Amino acid sequence: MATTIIMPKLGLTMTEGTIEKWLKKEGDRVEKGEPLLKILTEKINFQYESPASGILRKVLYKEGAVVPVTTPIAIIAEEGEALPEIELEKTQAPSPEQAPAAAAVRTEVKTTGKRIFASPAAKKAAEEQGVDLSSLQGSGPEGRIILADVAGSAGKALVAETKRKTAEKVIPLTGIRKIIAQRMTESFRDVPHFYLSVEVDMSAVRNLREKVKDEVEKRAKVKLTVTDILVKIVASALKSNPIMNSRFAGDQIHLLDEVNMGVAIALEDGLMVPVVRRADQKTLAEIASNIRNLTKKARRGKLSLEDVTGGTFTLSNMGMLGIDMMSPIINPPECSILGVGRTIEKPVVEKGEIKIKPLAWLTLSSDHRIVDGAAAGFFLNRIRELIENPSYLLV
Amino acid sequence: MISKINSKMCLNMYEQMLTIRRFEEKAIELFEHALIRGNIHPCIGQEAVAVGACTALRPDDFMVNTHRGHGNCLAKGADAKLMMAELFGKKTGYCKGKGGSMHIADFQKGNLGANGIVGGGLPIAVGAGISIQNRGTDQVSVCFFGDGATNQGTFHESVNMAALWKLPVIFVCENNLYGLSTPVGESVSACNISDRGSAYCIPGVNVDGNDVIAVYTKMTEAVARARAGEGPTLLDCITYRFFGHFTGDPGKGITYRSKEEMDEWLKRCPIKQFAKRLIKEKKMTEKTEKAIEAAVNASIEKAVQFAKESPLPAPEEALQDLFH
Repeated sequence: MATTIIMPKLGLTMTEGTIEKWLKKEGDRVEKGEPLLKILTEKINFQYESPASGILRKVLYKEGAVVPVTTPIAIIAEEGEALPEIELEKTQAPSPEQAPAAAAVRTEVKTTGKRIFASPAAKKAAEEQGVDLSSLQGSGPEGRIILADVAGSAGKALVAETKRKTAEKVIPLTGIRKIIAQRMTESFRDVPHFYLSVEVDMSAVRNLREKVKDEVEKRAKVKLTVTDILVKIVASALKSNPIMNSRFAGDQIHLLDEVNMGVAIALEDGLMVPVVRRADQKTLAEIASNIRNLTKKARRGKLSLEDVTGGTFTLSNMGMLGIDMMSPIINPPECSILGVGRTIEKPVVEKGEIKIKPLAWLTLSSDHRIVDGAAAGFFLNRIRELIENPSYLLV
Repeated sequence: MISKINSKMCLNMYEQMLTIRRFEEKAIELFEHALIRGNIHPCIGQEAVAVGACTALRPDDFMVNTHRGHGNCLAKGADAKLMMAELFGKKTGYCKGKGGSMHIADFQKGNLGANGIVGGGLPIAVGAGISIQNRGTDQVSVCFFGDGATNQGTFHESVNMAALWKLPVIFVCENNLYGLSTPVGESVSACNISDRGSAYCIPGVNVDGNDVIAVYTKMTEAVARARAGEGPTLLDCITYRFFGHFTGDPGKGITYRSKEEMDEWLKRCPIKQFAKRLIKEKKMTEKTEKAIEAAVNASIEKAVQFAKESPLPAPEEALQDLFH
């Protein structure tokens, strides 16, 4: 008897799922319980097992298709058995009739054994064109190989084709990307941002780090970073400038009790901002340990809802990505966000003499409905003061 | 030991375990098809605890169980049709469609209700124990709860009171080694949950929760103690769930458990190993096994049919059966 495979409901609030990858193709024999396809939802990545044995007679939606829950996506039956008539639902990807003309011959992609960072689209393109990933220079974030890097005209043509036939290589806007798109649009559109920048001398922070890093390592078993110190400094400044630790609520401004510092982390899927709770009350060792733990969880996709909510301020350090200066978008519903650029040795004039100092640009984006330039400027100056005199934290 | 328990009882237990398994599998399938709206917490893999324990009870004994309670309800004599109707939210269900998976109760069979609050059933079971003692009958009250519940205050308060007053309560811990995604090693301070019995001067018994005869044997002893007025017993039944925590954690729940661990436990599936044993000891033939499988599948299909054809409760009934 033919079995119609549907997009299963895998969670209470799930309304649609993405077919990430078919693990069997039309004509393959499938046993009940064998992994049949990989499904992506807003919450989970799931390997769905076949509920029946037989031949996978029809695959109704291609990889990348976003399909409503309970929609038929495949049919399993025995050879020669009559198949039920299924009407295809409207989805966000084309039906198999528009399959690309070039049938790619799959070749083994050789690697040098060292882990190669490449996006899934690039890996697929490389495999289809028989390109060795290890021979490519990545132009993506942190040197990652992206689709456009995949060799020569074939790669470029594919990218161009992708732009023309938007149906060909579609990145469905789901999961993290969808959420970021919604929230950043909301922030950019509704919040009147203004930007204040200062160039700060990072030598005192660097010295502090040198002085205490061993002690931190001893206590918390993690390495102390400059970001950890900045979190402590900004948290302290927020405590003494409560208007900056606030939320716009229509006809009210809420000043928040707790200073919960969101620390922006760049992941392959997108930006995540796990939160260090009550950062002003934590020691450097505790902050370092917290952030390291949250980063690990983020990389494994194991951040809980509690880890990413309740933030009152966000810190985004793009120094390690080589960015000099940035104008970050406020993370709603917070009042403000601080962007930190990279530290470069520069000549400065001190008491009539030229000295070489490690300088970095800080840019504070703030919500003009809550604060004006003066208040934000006062706050930013306090941050600079603490960065250049960290011992004031104890005062 | 198994020869002292007659073949008929064994076949009954086997059929009951299989009924629970197929019921849960069908319920998961119905959830995937969005026919059951609410989440369910399947007890796949834990059938031996439910069946072994409930087989040692009488219909007039009381039972309280958890959010993972479909198995216990069925083992205590619930009708699969009425349970399925409840999952579908139909008027013909055990709670008239208004309670759902975690609140199935059947007072005729002593089932005081499943409970969605971790550790919430313990005080209720103790209350039932007090009622028995006051009325002077030889009924017993059984409380099913999980490993996570043994850390709740209600567990300690309940066990203390039952021990102090020698109430006829049997505390059955369905220890599947994980409280959702937290392993017992990271939440329970005791080396074994059975050790917690000695803190209250009651016997704490370790049981292989995947051996239905072992569960039945230990439960029978505990029931005898309780009926004789000797007080409560804590049974720590070690078992494993083969599915995720609930239908929002689908598959085998291996994002927080290793595949190796799962494979090890799958080898000790309570139903498979009991079938093997029964066939080996000539209490069941392969023919009978197939017949039981067919009968169980048919009864589950019937239950689904019944549920599908049953009416939904009318909106006017929304406030009936509520305390307000």
